[in-house]
Amino acid sequence: MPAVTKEDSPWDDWPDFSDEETNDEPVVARPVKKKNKTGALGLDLFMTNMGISSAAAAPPIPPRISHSTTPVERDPTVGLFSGDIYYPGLEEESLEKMDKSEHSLAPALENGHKKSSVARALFSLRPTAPADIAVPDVPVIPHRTMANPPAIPEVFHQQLSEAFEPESLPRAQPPQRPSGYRREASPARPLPPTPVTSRLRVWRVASKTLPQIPVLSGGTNFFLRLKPANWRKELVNEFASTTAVTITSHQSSRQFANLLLATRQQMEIDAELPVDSVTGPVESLQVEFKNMWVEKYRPERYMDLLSDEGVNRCLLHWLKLWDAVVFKKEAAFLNPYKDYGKRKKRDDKPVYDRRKYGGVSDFCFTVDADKRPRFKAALLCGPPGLGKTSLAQVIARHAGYEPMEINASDDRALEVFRSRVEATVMNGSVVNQFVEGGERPDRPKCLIIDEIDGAPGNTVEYLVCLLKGEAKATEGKKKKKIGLWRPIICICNDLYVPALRTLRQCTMILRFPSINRERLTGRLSDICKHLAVQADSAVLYTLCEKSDDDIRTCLNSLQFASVPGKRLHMQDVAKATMGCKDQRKQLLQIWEDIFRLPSGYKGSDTRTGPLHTKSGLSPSDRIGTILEMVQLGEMEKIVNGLFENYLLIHHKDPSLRTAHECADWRSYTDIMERCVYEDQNWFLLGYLSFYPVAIHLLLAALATPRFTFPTAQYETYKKTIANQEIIKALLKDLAPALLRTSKSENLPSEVIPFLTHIIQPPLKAVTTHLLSNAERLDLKRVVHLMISYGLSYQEEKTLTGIHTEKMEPQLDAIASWHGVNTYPGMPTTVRAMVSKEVQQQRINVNARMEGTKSGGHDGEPANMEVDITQDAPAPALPAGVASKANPSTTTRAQANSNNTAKLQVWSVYDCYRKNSPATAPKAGGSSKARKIWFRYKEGYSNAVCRDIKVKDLL
Amino acid sequence: MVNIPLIRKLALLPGEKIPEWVILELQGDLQTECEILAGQEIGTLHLAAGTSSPQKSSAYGGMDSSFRGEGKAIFLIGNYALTGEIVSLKKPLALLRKAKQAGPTGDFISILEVDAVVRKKILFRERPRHIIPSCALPKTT
Repeated sequence: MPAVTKEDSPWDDWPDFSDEETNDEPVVARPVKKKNKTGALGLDLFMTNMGISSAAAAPPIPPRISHSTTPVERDPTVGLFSGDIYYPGLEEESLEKMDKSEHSLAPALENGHKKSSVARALFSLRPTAPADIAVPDVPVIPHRTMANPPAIPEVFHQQLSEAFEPESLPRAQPPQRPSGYRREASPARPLPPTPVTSRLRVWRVASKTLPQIPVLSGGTNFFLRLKPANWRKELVNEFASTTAVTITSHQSSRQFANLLLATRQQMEIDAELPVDSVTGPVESLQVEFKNMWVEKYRPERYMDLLSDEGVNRCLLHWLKLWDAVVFKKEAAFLNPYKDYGKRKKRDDKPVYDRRKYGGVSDFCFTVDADKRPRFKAALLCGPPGLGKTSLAQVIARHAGYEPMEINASDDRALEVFRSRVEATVMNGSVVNQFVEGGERPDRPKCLIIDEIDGAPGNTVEYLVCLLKGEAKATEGKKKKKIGLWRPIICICNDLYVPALRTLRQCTMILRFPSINRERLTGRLSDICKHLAVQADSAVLYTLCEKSDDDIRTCLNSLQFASVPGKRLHMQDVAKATMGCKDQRKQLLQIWEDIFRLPSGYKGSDTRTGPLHTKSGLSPSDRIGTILEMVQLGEMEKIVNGLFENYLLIHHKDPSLRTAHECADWRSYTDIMERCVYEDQNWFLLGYLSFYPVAIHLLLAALATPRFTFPTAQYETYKKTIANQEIIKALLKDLAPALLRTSKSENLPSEVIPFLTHIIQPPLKAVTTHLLSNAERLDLKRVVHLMISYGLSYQEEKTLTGIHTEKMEPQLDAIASWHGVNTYPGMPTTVRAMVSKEVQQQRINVNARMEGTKSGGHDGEPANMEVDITQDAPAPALPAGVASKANPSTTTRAQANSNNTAKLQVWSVYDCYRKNSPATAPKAGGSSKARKIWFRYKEGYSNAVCRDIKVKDLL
Repeated sequence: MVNIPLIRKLALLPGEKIPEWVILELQGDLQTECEILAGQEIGTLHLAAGTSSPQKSSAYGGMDSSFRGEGKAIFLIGNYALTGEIVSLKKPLALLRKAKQAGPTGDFISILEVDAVVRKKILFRERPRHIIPSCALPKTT
């Protein structure tokens, strides 16, 4: 008989449950905190075996749901799993399907209850609630153990590693890939829930070491929490005295749960324990772990600081410079390195040792007219967990200040920020007097602005104004300038956030170097000793190494993994998901790791092949490492970097097999990317990560790889944009007749390359008089084409002062192909000549069009016709003109037809046609009568100006 | 006794203005093989529409920067392009026509009628430019 206990379900209105009370607390899944500084353990907390749960930080008591069979009889050592099941997407339909399905739940659950209600009871738990469920009879297949990797993706994984086994060389079987990229064909798709036991089937992503996100057959995630084997006994013992109810139905189970809850709450109140304390057998130890070690062992004094000595010292010096203003006494030193810096014996000048002062120039230690330091604020930057905040607080206290911390990413609003800053920084002794809860209210304050890289832009702007002494007070009628009389220490992770650009210029920047690993190990071992946790220094060293010397992560992991009085083993620390830094690796680091064999690699044994190593760096381990590293990073950039560099990596590859395989993998990844991002087949996303793995297995070498940052994609993108602009400009000026057949797609390949050649024939750089006939024809063709395509040459002066004629729009840029010998084009002088011709012809065409448009010269549009083939200018009339003074109608018609022919637009293809307008003989080209011409009188005018009287006219 | 001729305005309709003529001032001769110039078409006059009309300015934009802008004109006569500008006359001129009118006494007296007013002239003072290269192709057959 199953005892189903349910309480405070979000589905309170279900008919199966009679509701005596409704839950006051709305059931809302808590959003994940943005940054949990004290307990950033992530998924580890779900698998705690120490009873420290993530819910410890959540104040309201979450509903506890106990779903178990009669627990007393059960053997707790069986190793049952209990789990919090989060099933958000469980729809009514799917539940009904469950009801209709032929598969039966465990027989124990079939006593009159609908299956769906059982499922609801299971799934109505919240992820944040530390609900304890024992589901022995409900078909949950928990996490597969490591020894029994799950079905399909694991196959992929195995095959991948097998592909590189020396036994299988030459590669007999390519890694299995989805043949089609449809959902149906994907091997990643979970099987349909056929048998009962597969209803909650869990399958894992390929890697053994990745954080596991189990997926139910319906496609949703759930989380399991491992409990110590004897927790059930403890739980039962706890309540055994209070109740002896045999639970037979949901209703009674609900009552039972309420009873349990009430009892437990009462117990907690009695014990004066925090309400949110952790359930389970380790409650006695709870006092011990009440505080996070990170808080407990936070450095108190200057000497406790683990961070780099140079940085510490530099910050302290800077802070001491404020003494003159804040404490009204001169600092003990005028020159900050007077006491610390080495002195040369000869000239007694302090030698500035950059390393000692964190790479800060001595300019930072000068003071301004008000005796304040040159930089009013210090900016500490470095990766998280190195103790930046601790350093700021310790140093501030050390220098006699009361640190006042503002988290800029929390107090985002400018007003809040401003009021807090002004209250702290302004020269108000009054403010200092009445600090609530401060340790030493009489101390002057030192403002510590944490996470300023998360602050909005206007907040940073305000701060910059303040630092520059330009900020105005908000209160009071007279807007006085706020004097900055207290030091400000800003802390950020990423110095190069755009918002901080202005701030960088007016602060003293201190970069945090990484922490000395030996010192950190020593500190950890001190802490372990203090807490009677036995841990080898080798173990601690590994921990440091794993977390990249992140103090906070180290301490949290240590606290998480250690049990007082017990020994900390290497395998505890070596768990992949534990103790990893909560920061992504830098891209360069990722590439380097991919192209490089792991550090413990001992070299290859010729007998067993390069992939077999003694130090446990088996291919599968390496695959896991790379996968884990890559999946957190920016996949696109990683892939690009690999693709651009894989040929640069030195590798013995005489038959180019490796190169071929790399290229093969890239194309495979490309197909996958397409499927993912274009068709939204997100389930294929996981396969993208295997490209770096393949590259690693194929190319990784012991030597330090030399590679370049991938820029090709961005450059190509930029070039594409520029070229598209050119084509757009070309299309804009294109004659309509050409526009009909020209598209931006075919222009660059079909027209422009030829056009650039055609319009640049080999002309002599002489005046048009001296050109041969053929050349004149060429020139004419060029001019026509350029007008048709709206091209022109524009004079430009280069930086060196040389005049060049640039084609506009710049078709040369499009038509030049990389690696192909480009046509150098015409010399500038010829271009200038062509340009002149084009301009004049353009005027003529326009004038002609004007004339026909206005309609005023309908009869004789040819009158004004000016043609390039016309022999002579007007003063020297063509010989035929006189005879054709009165042109016949036929001549006129000829002229008209000729005129319209000339108005035709040319395309590239026209100009070499046999009957092209250019080569066609001009029938009546010069037969037009020119009735009036103009003779310009150069020089002076000999007109006589004389006054005329009216009477003279009469 | 001084004979004062009457200067009479044209009979204007209400709202009608005296037509305004514009002088074209050329430096040079207009030549023709015909006997008289009257009634013949000289050429095409293009007035620049200023920069406000992009169509026109683009039509000539490539040619001459001096043509851009208000008050510029291009006069195309034959193969010449004359660039000029519109200039306001210092003193407006009236175009007069001599006519005879019967006076009150019965005899005809001479009067002058105002045909038009000239307030502006277009001054082509720059050297005209050929719009045909003198090296043009000989006739190809």
